[in-house]
Amino acid sequence: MMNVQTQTFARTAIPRNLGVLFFVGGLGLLIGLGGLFPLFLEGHRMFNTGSMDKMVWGIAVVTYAYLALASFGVTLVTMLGSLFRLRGCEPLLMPNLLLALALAIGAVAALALELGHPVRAIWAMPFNLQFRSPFYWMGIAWTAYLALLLIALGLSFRSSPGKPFNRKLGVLLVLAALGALTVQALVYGLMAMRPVWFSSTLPLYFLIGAVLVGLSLIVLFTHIAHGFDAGSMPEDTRRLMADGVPTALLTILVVYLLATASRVVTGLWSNLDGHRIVYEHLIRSGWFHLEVWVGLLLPVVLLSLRKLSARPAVQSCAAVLLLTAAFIGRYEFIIGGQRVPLFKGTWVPGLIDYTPSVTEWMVSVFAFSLVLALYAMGSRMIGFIQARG
Amino acid sequence: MRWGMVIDLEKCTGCQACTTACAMENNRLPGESWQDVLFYQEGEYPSAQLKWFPRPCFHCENPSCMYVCPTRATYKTDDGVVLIDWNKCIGCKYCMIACPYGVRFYTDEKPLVEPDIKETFPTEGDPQWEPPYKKPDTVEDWKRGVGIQPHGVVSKCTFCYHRISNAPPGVADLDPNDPELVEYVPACVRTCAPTARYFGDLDNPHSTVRKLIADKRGGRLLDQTGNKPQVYYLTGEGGAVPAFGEGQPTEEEE
Repeated sequence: MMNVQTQTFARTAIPRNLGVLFFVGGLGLLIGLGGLFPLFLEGHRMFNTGSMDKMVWGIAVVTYAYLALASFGVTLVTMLGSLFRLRGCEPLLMPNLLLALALAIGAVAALALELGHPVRAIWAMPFNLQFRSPFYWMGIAWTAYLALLLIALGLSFRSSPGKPFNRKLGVLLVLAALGALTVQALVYGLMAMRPVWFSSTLPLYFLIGAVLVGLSLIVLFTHIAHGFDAGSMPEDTRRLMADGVPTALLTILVVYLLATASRVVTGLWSNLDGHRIVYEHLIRSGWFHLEVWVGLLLPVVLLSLRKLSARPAVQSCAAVLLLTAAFIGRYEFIIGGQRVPLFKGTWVPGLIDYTPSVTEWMVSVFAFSLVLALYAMGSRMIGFIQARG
Repeated sequence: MRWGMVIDLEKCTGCQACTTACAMENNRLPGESWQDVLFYQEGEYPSAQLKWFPRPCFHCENPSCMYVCPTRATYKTDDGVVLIDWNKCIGCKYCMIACPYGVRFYTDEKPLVEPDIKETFPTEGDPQWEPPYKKPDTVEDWKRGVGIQPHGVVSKCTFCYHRISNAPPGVADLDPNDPELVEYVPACVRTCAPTARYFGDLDNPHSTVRKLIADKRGGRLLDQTGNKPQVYYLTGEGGAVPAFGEGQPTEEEE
């Protein structure tokens, strides 16, 4: 059970494996940038997306949606822990906010590579005031979220150990993350012509996914930061990671499983044109079974066994499986919603098939690597500042 | 004034003349058919049916494409035509997702028909290519999505706005058989050999289009989405568009 009391604050944990993170992030950026050259030279013809027999939105949008979800989730979990003054959270505040910022930048980078005119969006969206567009509100929400995140991170840099986090800012940041998450869900949920997506409860499904992904990332990066050695953590943080975190992760995982099962069962039961056929295709897919049996159910087992669930290696393994499952889930959601061709007749006689091109995969590689590289750079900055202070 | 179209499915022969005329008039890429005739097959021999369905952009009354566009690049004119401003479009393709009728195109993609004709007739920068069949009097109006489109934007049928916008005010119908109005008639309407298409003012109760809709019970596609298309179909004893999945083989069946 988590202790909600006045805590003794410790200094922020700096990743032990900073060099490895730099290397992996930097290598990924190089590979990603190299792989993106065809995009810069030839344009979006290098994507396997299109107007007739192809997906409109491909893995670049999936990557954006996943990283955005992850960023909102990390922020929500971190700020709720801070607002409720959970013992052991304080050393994790700055690294988690940094992680959230890196994830947000990675998401925006992936989206920018997808858009036809990303720079134009900077002026065209705010000045044309299309209030009815979910994308317009997503821009507003993202701006507020990023601004508050930067302020929170800045204040965290400046604050001294022992001083609690600014509650008002924390509440605003939680609201901004929730708002951005809700609008992102409604981008899909408002589409009545896409029965796989259309739902007013989609923001709730996205929220559950965000908390799951956010908590998994916090677990993974905390263990990476401490070299998978629980003994090197501050005592309160060690206790939190050993007792409270596995329980919380298991709980949100069960809720996520229920939500996923609910969507799949609804899809298979539905008579709605273009709904059941997608889910029948989904459950025949190997990726779906990998997601469910290995990505979701195996972590349930790992986190349920008390002797195992406290171990950093087991927690990290469960986190990696959950993050992979969540990515597959996001992919299935976004691609699945577009599988049914809209009025193509015999030009497209069956469900639309999709395999990302190499260039599209490079968008994902670039975005994920950017997250790692930014996180490593930011952690190095924290180390410099703490060393001076 | 609200421009609209009526298509008589009992007269349509599926000849695709409208598709070709549109492509020539608007300098479309091969396969990028703003106006398309969709074919559907149902059943099996000896009771198989082939149905065809001409489908332009429907220029809906409540266009979902317009409402999702974050930059107002997609907008509706005072005379009821939904257009795209290529100077504002950021190429997010949300309109393509939101359109229930699949009428939008993004030409920054793999060519729909190989070889890529853009590489054969390239330009430097924008627009994307120089069609060999480009007419000398081709209109370029990027604010209305007319012409050869630049990179990174979405395009769609404009009801030949470069023509209809010059029509005399107050005209009830743009009749291709009227020599004084023929130059204002959209290419697909003008070309239709069995005269299956009619184009006119839906707000004028005396227009041919309104009378046809009333007399022959003109219907709209996917009315339940609430988009309210401004293209009506006269089905008579003829076709309905079958639901996806009925009579159409899935990948596994093929």
